[in-house]
Amino acid sequence: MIRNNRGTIAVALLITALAGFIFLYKVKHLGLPLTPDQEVDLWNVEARITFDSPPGPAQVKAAIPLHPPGFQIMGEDFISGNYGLSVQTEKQNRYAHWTVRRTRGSQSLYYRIQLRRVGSDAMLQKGGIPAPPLVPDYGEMEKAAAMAILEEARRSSADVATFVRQFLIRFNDSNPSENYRFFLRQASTPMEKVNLQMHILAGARVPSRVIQGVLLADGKRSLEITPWLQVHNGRKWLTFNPDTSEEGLPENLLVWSMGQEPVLEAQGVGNLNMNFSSSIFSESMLRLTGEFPLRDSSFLLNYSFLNLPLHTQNLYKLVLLIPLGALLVVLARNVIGIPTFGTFMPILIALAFRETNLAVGIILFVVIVAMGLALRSVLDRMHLLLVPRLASVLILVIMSMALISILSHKLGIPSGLSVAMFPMVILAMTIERMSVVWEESGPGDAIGQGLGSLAVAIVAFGMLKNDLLEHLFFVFPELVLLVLAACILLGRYTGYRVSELIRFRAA
Amino acid sequence: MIATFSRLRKQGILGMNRRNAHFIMPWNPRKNYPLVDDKVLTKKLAQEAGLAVPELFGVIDTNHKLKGLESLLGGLESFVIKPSRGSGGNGILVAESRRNELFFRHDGSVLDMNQIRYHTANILSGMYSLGAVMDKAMIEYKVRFDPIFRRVSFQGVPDIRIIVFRGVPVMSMLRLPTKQSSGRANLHQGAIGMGIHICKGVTLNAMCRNRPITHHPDTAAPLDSFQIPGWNEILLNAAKSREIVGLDYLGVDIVLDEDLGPMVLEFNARPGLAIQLANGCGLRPRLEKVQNRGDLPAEPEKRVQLAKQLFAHEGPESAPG
Repeated sequence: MIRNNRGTIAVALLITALAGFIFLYKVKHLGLPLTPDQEVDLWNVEARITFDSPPGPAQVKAAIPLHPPGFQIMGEDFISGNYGLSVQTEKQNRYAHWTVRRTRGSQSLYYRIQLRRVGSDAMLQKGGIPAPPLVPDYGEMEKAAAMAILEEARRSSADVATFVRQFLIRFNDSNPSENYRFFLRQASTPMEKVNLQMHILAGARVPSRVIQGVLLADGKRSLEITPWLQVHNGRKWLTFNPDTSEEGLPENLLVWSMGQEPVLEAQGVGNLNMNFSSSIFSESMLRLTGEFPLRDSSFLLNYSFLNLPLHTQNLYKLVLLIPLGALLVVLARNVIGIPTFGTFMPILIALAFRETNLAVGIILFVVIVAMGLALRSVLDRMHLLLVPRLASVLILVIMSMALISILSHKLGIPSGLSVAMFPMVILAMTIERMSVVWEESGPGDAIGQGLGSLAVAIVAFGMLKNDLLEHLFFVFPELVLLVLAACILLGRYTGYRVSELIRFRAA
Repeated sequence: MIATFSRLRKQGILGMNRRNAHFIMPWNPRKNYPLVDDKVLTKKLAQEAGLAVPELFGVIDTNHKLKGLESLLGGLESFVIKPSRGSGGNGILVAESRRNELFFRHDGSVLDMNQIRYHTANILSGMYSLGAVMDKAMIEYKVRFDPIFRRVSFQGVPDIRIIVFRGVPVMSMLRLPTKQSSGRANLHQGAIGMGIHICKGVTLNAMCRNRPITHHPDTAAPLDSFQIPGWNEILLNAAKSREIVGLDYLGVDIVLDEDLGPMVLEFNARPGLAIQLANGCGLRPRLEKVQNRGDLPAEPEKRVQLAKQLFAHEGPESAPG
């Protein structure tokens, strides 16, 4: 038997591990919510492109985020007016092309994107280790200045990160040394400044590049795109603020485009401008996973209940809880030893209770079962055979339900009406079983089993009505496997039932 | 609760879950269940094996044959009608005596032909049977129990339940019907259980509804220890049952007839656990002794000897209380 037990435990553990893995993957990696009301903060970023167009055709090309590191794109849309729009991916960037044949005057185009912070900057590190750049062909004076700058930074640094930082601190000094001053004259725009930093760093053969991004701020308008310096330290890309020399990619930096290509280009227009506004809004996490077309969507999500039609979803919300009810019956019967009618009658009764509310359900159940039993005893005196008698009980049960509905309506108790939806077959079967037990084993057993079924049904009802359980089993149907594992393990439970402790206490 | 749990464990009390998982499931092949579930078949097999059984007067297996019921009962003074696939003693109708066309039940109530026919029809419709399938009604000899039981019985027929494991009688009890059990010998319906020393055939303590008792609840007769006559033959009948139905964990029900001696009533593939309370000791150590025994003798006689040898000093039987 021990060998047998081991196999069972192994199977149960395997199932548990599988379910646990899928569950954790969905929680940790896909970020599915553990509670039904969990909300998530999303960034809504709007880019507004304005320009003045002389009469005639206009063409605007604007970069838009492709795989912004640390963010997941939940949705995007364009407001293009009468412009034709095409979106193309070029190398690491995506561009929106707006074109129109004839236009004039002040124009506005909008691009809106919804983003969710996911905290992984894996996208940033794509593409392997870059080759170190060649030392630029500095002029003689330039070379002397660059080498002095680099030597100075090298002396006070331990690795690439500190080296670049030392360099940037001196570069941004309000009173820069002469060597720096030599270079600083050449830079006026932020982009030129970063290019200059890269130019000098190339002297130390440090690979570097530019990314352009927007620092998001809740409720802010007129945000600008700024360039950021990135340096590769042999293992990964490090991001530096070119102005403050701080290292690290700020959490709220939305990388708009990679490289130094301009984010906005246009032909035949004037006063071209692009600015950004951003705001945070909350969204129900569940709706999000269900409704937003996910960019890096996962197999598990594409084949989940969240994609089913709504009414099917609602059905499965209930159906997926039934295994839990089955587990409850197993516990009640094999571990506690509560007598019930049949194996799954309590679950059926619990499902019936869902149609009413619990208190009304219990009252109706007791009243109808009592009425049924009374009617049955009358039928019994007429010496009817089993099947016709069952049929007669069913008919009488339906009639008493109808009666209860009409009476309660007259008395102004609306819940009585729902008895019509009460699964009457379940009631008729309960009554029949109860009356057989009553006759054969006495009223004690009959009432005991009736109360046992009712008690289990009430607990099962509590589970079927629980929002959290409903949510968990619906979003994580793999939890059903856990229930299966529990049932398999309980199938090898050979200890005493709680009821036996009472039964054998005299032993 | 945990204290009770470990106390019962120490006493070797067998629980329902362990009985099912360790004894019934591995030792009783499912395919042999029909042999014990269908009592007409059981009776035939037992008879063929040379065991004494209550004589079968007739079987009614269709509503059509109900017409023949009256003529079947024509010459009978007393009889028992029971479902072939009944469980827990349900659906058994006992006619103790007869006056003209009327029969009388154990409690003196009158049975007319209509009632008997209705009851038989209910049996046929599966009312008392496992799974409510169509059933057969058996009409058989009503046992006149041995006078030794007269003192302790009240309505109905006392019988002896023996748990037989691998053909070795393991534990036994006397079951006495009470008013509460309406003449049936089922403990969970309120019958009395008296443990029987498996080696000596002497009755031990009595219990009813899971509680020890000293007097019969209906007659107030003291339930003292007495010797069951023909105990060896009873044990032998029980030991032979293993081969008859091919089940290793078996409850054998035997009645003692005044004239005909021990007769096998029926077999049970899922015998109840209350026998442990009646004996004041657990089944588990005894079952495990037999289980660990390797090969067992093929002859029923030797298995009875083995039982006496194994359980001579077993449990609180030797020192009741």
